Amino acid sequence: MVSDGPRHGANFNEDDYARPFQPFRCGWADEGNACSLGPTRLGICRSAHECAPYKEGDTWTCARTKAHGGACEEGPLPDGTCCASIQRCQPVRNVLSKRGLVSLCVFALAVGAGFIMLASPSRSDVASPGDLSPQHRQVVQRCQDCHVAGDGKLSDWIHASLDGKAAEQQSQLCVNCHRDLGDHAMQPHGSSALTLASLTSAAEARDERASSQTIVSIAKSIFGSPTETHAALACATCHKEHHGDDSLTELTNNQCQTCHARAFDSFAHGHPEFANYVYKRRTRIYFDHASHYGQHFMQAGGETGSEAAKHACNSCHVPDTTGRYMLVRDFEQSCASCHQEQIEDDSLPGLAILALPALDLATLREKQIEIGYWPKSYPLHVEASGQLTPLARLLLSGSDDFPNAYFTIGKLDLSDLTSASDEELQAVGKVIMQFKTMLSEIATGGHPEVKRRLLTVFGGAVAEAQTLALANSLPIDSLMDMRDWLSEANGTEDTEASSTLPNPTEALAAERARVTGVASGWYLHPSSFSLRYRPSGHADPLLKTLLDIRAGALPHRAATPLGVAHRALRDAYRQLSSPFAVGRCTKCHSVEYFGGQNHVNWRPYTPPLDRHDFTKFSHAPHVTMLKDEACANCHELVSLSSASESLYRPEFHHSDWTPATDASVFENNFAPPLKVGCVQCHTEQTSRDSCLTCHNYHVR
Amino acid sequence: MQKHNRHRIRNLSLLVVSAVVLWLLHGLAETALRDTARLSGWLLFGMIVFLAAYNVRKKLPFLPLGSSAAWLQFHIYVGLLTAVVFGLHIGWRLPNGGLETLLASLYGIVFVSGVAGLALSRSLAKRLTTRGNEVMFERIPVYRKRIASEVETIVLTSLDTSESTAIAQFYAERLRPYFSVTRNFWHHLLQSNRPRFALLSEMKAYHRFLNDDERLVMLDLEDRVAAKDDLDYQHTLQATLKYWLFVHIPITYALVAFAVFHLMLVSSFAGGAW
Repeated sequence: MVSDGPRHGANFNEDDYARPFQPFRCGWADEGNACSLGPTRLGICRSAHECAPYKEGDTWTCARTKAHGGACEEGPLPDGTCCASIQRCQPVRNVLSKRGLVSLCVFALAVGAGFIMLASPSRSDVASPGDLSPQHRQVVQRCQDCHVAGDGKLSDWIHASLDGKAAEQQSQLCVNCHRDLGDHAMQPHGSSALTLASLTSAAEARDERASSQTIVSIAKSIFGSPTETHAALACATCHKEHHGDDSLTELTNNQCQTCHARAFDSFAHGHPEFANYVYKRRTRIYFDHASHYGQHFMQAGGETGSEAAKHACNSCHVPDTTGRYMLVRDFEQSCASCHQEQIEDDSLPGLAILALPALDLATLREKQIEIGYWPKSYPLHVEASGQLTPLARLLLSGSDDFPNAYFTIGKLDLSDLTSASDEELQAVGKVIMQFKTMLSEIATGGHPEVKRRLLTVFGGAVAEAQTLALANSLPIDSLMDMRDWLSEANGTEDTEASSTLPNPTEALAAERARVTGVASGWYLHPSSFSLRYRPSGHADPLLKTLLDIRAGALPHRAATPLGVAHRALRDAYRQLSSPFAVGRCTKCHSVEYFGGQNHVNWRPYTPPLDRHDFTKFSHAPHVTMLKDEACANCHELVSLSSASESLYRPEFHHSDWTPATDASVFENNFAPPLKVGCVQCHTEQTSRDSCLTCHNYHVR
Repeated sequence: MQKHNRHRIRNLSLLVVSAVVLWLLHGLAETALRDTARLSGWLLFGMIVFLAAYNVRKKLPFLPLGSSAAWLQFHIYVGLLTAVVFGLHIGWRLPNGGLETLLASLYGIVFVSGVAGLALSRSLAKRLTTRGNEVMFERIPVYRKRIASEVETIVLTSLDTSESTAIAQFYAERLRPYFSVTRNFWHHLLQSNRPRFALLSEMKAYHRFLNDDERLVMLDLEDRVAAKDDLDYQHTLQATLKYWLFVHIPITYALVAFAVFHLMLVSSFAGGAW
């Protein structure tokens, strides 16, 4: 029988049993007929009968509890089954259980979806945290281009996230592309620890008191500074990628100062003065602004011209293509109008490249030193010399026994051998014979012979291009003429006036008149038996080559071909390096010593395009904006301690007019720029006082 | 009540102070070139786990972890604070990466649903006391069924005592559908009594077609309609109080799941910022 009355106790309707915290409730509950047992936690209906009868002797007894109405009148069936069977229900979840089930499903769905997304072929798109910056967007195609874990599977990502080393390797991938960051790319500023320590010490040693920067101090005290705890800085410390079009290099002033020993409030307040910024060495081209404004321009254009020149800086200076640097215009534009004539000054004697040395023929003959025919030099000729010219020594240095003979002679004046020893006289004879042979061989063999002789001496010590330039510059026709001077057909020794040589007084006058008209190039100077050279103008290739072939490149070993060549080149340099030498090269082109030898600065400073100093300054916009007063705003002309000298400046020339070669010793025409000029425009209000406006982080 | 308000002011003040402190710390961390996304991310993850633990805490009442009321207060104010941390974490801009957008959306849903739930629990709980008897949500179907049975009994009885079938027809056409299920959810939620008055007005308009006995029966039915309407009102508000959690809690778990994926990704792809 199926019970259709209240199934659970007499007061069921008044005392219904709800189970809000049980996952399931009776399916009849909404009908008001929920069973008292309720379903199991798994949602299985467990109410088949109202009770489970028990047996007493041979009789089954109803076991319904009093709470559920007590023993029923009908009693159990004969087989012991309860007579009041209950219609089974389909238990329903209660609200909490439904919510738990939904939560579980959603969580499982999320986990599954996550794994599917990250294992799918398009996982890069899903995992990417955002667009790359425009710079990287152009070149980076895949995650693994920048991320160590990018190439792996999902399991590798999980492993990498637990490993912790991926982050360290990340920056190395950046540097693989950004190779221009140098050897210390991940050091602060890309500088070595030594450089940084030196810069830090210098900053800490400065006298000036920086204003305290409270925010930076608090930040550093709470979070520390990256440089305190990390020897190497990851690129991501400053560069935040995957932020789309946002700047990849933007940093605040405070962020910059987090690592710095001295912090300050702003550019206007606390930033140190520029000290000797810009003027850290002398200029490569010697140009004294003070003497030009005060004397030379005054002479050329009067006071008006001089004053005008002070405001016409662009006559000689022009911004480079990047707009950063002010370059010096070339010689023709800025200097030639006054200095071209000085270079081509034909009142100066040309440089004796090769010359027949004046010999003491009487002594040689007395000591029976055989040298064959040798013309007698005009006595007292100012340009006649009792020495071999440097180039002659250079060309002879490869000849057999020349080095020994040359060093035996030493500094002996060949035009006066009266006090020379026999050994020295023998050496003189040997040298003169070798000189004659050399001249003859060159006159016959031409440029190849010159080249052979130079290469024999130099080997690889001098650049072949320079050797060839020097060899090919010699005029062979003139050398043939010189050889003819040694021909007996031209006269006899001790002959006061040979058939080819005119009267000395007349010859000198004629010679002077002739060579004075020689504007430039090679010419023979018969009265001193020399082959001479006068520059063809600015940037003369021969003089440049002679000054460029470094004596220092050759070993100093005496009595060897290279030892002789070393001295020859050194003497050639000494001849030409005076500001009064022919061509006057070193009057303007400074010489400096580095790398074990002297170097002539043929060109003014040429900034490399990829230069990244700590400080950057772009001249072009300032010049454009400030117009005529632009230069003077920052570069204030000062009176120099040496300004009274019109030409002599100790940082460029010593007192004997030999070039000063230490570029770090100098006195500048201009006072260092002052910060006060900058802070007028570079203020917080104009948002142009950021550290990055004037400073580079990566220095190289 | 005053004490309650004082607590609320105190808690809100603490919330504001905490938010400002976090914002300042974030700024200082940025100044120190710390990886603020990582710091704020871990903080946010910790806060979300703590918030999610509230649901677990409710299921473990035997553990000495503080009162549920205290947990709820922490849950509310820490939850509100996550908005600040989340904003700092994403830099106050909309993310555009796939997973990031999904995470932000999930967080948005959880946060908004949480705030909505808070607002609902504050307003609906009061409204529950204004109409009908407070009944257990699980028993509402029982009571509705009982009322429906009573109405059916009254109508059937009236058929025995009256020759007119007007009430029976009205019952068949209008009342039986009304009593069979919960009605007018949105009206009850929006505190609108228009359907109730409309039905009752309709029943009163019926009076002129009824004799005195039938009119008494109709009055009896009107009481049942009012009782059923009150029951529906209780059901609507209680259901709303229970079912908003069907959004808040499951999405919280999804958020935690995707946050773990996010953590795994950012850890393995991290750029090494400290």
